[in-house]
Amino acid sequence: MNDTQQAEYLANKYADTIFRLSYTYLKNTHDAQDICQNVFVKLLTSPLKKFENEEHEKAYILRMTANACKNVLKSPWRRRMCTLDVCADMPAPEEPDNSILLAVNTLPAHYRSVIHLYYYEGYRAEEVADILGISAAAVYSRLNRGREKLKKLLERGIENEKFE
Amino acid sequence: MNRQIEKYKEELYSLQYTPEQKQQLARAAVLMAEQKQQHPFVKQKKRTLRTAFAMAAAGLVLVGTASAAGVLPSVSEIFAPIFGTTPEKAEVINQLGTPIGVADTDNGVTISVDGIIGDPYNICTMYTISWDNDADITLPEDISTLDFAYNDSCTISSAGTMGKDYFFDNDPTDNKIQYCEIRSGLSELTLGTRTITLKNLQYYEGDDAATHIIAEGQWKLSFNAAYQDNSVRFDDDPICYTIDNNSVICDNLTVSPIGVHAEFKTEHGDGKDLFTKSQSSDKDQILYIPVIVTKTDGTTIDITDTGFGSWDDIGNTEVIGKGTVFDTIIPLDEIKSVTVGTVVYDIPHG
Repeated sequence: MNDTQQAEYLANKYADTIFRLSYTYLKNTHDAQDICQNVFVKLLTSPLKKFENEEHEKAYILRMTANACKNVLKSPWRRRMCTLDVCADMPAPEEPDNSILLAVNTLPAHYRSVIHLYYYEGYRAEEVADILGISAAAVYSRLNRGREKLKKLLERGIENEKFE
Repeated sequence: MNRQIEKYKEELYSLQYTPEQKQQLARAAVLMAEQKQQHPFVKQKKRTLRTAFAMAAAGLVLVGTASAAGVLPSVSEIFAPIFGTTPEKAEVINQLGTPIGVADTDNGVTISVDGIIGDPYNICTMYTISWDNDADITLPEDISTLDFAYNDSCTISSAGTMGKDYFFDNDPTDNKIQYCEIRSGLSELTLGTRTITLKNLQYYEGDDAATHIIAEGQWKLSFNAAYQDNSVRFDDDPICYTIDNNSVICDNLTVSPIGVHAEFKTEHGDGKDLFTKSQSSDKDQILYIPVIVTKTDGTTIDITDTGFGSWDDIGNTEVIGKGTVFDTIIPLDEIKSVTVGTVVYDIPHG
């Protein structure tokens, strides 16, 4: 597989997955887009890694994405990596204006990431722990606290919206 | 809450690139990779400070038992703040729970395991965190934001464990806070010797979750986890449900004064996960099966949306557990029945 084929494979298979996790961490589509690019470039420029299966590959890519997002959050400033003309006008998925996503976005990042991997990606707590490099107990704790906080937020309503 | 989680998943799913955008993304990645390979970024060497780490590592760790300092409190006293104080509840708590009294001290902070209580699927462990009067501890305004940087306390069960934990301050005038940890297993919990390692008490602040360590250290606590089980189990007459053409069997309902646990099984037979990741709506539908506890006074506790849900592959069987630990102890005499889906299980009373 040459670079172009590999890039197409990664984009078709993982662009949405990386984008959604990055959006979950960074809460804006531009930064999520940058993470997506960074992860692809890193994969294209690193020695080819052999994976046991597709799940292994996906978990590895999610781990890379989570680490890249954590680095961005830790950084005192956010630097955009994409400086090429080709990136300048590259469209990203539209910023959502949905009520639940906005509510989830008001939670701290460490809650958002476990909620995303557990509920959206469908990983077990132990697998989430492995991807995020934290203990399973921390996953249980964050899941529960995140859910509790989200429940309170939704009961209160965000911007006076009504929820089910 | 489960419906909102489902809506959250739908909304997140709508965040996706078009096929054209993916093509563009791939082209840009190739160009950037080429550029990076032509002009590799050279990292500067970092200087490291070793002194601070050496000083931090010098803290002494002492292990002992809290019971050496005095008589252990009763289990009902230990769990009263979370499970209630009526004489009926106290009687049940004392009958089921076990006082522990094991403690470990590091850097002037002592963590003790005060007591445990549980049933075949749930275990509640109560800890006290206390610090020396001269220890430099500043608690956050909201102690519910506290957490341990590392908490290895999950060795009690096979995969599929769920749970929650939280901090509270039983007496704001003393130099102690309490930590309650609840774990629920998909399969029966394996008890016996339980070793718990906790590291660095900290809290997160702000949207970027900046970490503030308020007590640096490591606490290792080992004790024999044993408690009385007086649960009622219904596993003689499996009930079959059909969800999206899949047969789902509920073959175990366990009810105790601590909580309730319902177990569902479904065969997939081909060695694959029946419920694919990212599209686990079938699994969610099983978790939506109503589970309602009816008390003898006519009031109900509906855990359909609020309970824990967990799942695991065991051979060719997908096992899905749904349950909860009650907010208070409910003597079995006060539970009339538990409804799972449309089936009512009457609790036998002595």
